Amino acid sequence: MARWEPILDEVMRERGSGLLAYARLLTGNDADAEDVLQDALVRSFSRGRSFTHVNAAEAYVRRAIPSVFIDRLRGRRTRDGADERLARRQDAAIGMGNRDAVLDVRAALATLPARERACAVLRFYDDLTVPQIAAQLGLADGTVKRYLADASARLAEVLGGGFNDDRIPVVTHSRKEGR
Amino acid sequence: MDLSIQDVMNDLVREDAARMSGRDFADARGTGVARRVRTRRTVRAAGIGGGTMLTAGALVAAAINMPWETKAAPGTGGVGGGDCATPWPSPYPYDVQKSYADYLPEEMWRITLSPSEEVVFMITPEDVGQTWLVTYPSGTTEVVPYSGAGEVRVDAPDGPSILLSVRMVDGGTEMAVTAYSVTPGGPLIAPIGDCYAQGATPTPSSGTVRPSTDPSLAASTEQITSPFQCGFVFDTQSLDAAHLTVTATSVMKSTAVSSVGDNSVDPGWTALTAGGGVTAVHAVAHTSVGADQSGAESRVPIALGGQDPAASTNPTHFGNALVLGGAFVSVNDGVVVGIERTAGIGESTADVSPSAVTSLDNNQVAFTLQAPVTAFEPCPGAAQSAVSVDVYFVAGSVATVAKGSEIVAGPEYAWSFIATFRRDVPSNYYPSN
Repeated sequence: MARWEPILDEVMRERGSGLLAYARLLTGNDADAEDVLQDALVRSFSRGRSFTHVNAAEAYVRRAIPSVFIDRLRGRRTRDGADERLARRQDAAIGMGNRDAVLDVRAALATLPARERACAVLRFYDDLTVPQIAAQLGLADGTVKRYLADASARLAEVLGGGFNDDRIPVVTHSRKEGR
Repeated sequence: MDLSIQDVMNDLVREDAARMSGRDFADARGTGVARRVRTRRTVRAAGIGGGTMLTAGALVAAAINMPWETKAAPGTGGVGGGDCATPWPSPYPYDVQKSYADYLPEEMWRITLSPSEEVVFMITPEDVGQTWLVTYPSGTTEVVPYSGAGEVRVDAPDGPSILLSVRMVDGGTEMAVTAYSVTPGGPLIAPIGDCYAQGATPTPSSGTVRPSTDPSLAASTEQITSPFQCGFVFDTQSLDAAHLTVTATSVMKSTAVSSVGDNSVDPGWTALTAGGGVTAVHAVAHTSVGADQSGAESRVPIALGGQDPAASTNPTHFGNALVLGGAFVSVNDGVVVGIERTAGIGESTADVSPSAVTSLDNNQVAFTLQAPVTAFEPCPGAAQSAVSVDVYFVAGSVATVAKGSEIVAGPEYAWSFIATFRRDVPSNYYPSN
């Protein structure tokens, strides 16, 4: 067995759930999250790197996930509509019973077009700057800014209330109910 | 209550992580991921991006998709997804398409010029480099490194020379192609046309269960359904299927061979034995499409070297195709005990027996493997004979569709015993049988 294989297996088994959840934040559904993670694993381990620890490997895979997500979008424009609808249906189904705030954000993310969602996740979840997002996704800075502006506007519309790039007031269901 | 969206996203990820299982993912996808990584690393080690010839076994996967489907009529554009949007003036018909496969090259831009010349732009893994695979009417191929200039000149033996200037635009989503006619010894003539092609839509992942050829898997007996797999038992020395036959096998030493019965020489064999003094095993598989297979007339013939076509992680990426795969295996007491070895990480391809795959026509593919005695990787736990190596050729075929998730026909398997090689003689020994 080659040296990389035990590391690959460990990343999948021990870190796979977290990586899948991160990918799902972008894709909005489980099936696409698995596809994205699979491609990210292949991309990360194919470059001849000698990962000596699972943490380093996980970091590479995690970084590859948004890039893979965007690359897949580039080749599947015609499927976007159907995928978006699927993502929204699945997000709505999975969100039921979750904490209200999580439900709100999940639903709000599902309303975003895929590229806007990717920029929003990298900005708000990964806390990356616009240039960092642009570099990671292979987009122009201006494009990222436009996506973030559109995403922020739409999130604000869905979640309600004013917010800036760093904080969005999440209105929980209990608050909506006036408690 | 105001919450940071980052906090909420963290909660969201935690909830999903608790629900999703990495172990299930590893069980379901781990084999496929490892196989793809192994293939990519092998190709990197073989140096496809360096413009090496298609001789090492690891490069066989690059020789896929020959020959091509029906060409577009002059000036009418291509067929299927990803067609050119800009008409291309006669007399040069064109067809530019993007296709996907689940193995290398994962993405291909295919440019077809005139009735007989084909040029393929292959997007190989990022750090491997990008190459052109030029296929001439004779069936011979030439791998050309993709330079920063993005140009390749096609000097077809029996046709006009064409210079293609290619640039990827929109982050690789589109390929812009400008073709120039080149007069012999003269300057470029003005562009004869621009063509923009947009990527075709890849098909979704398939849930179809397929046999594995991964030797690292300790497959149980009931899982061994393919002669490409370790542990497969041959009941007979040869077997033909309804639509798949092994039409020729031979052991050769520095002797060109006719594979198609018209005395034309298999260029794969010629390339492998150019140095002389080597022994190789050679086989030809013939596949046909059954009358009961719908959509057969538009199927793209695809040849795979060293791979079971039914074991691909996602054969639907082939599109509407008739996929023929062939490989050599080593056998002991009728059981597969070794498969063709490819270069692993850190290994030199000089240690791997060269092989070649050549499409002879739309239905016949020739496979050649050099130095068979040392060409095989032992199956884990398999009982190897210390005395000799029985070499079989195995072939498989499937028909796939562009949409959906099913193999619509097959897999069918055929095989044939080729020869027994003794271990105590040099690898270039030429057996008498």
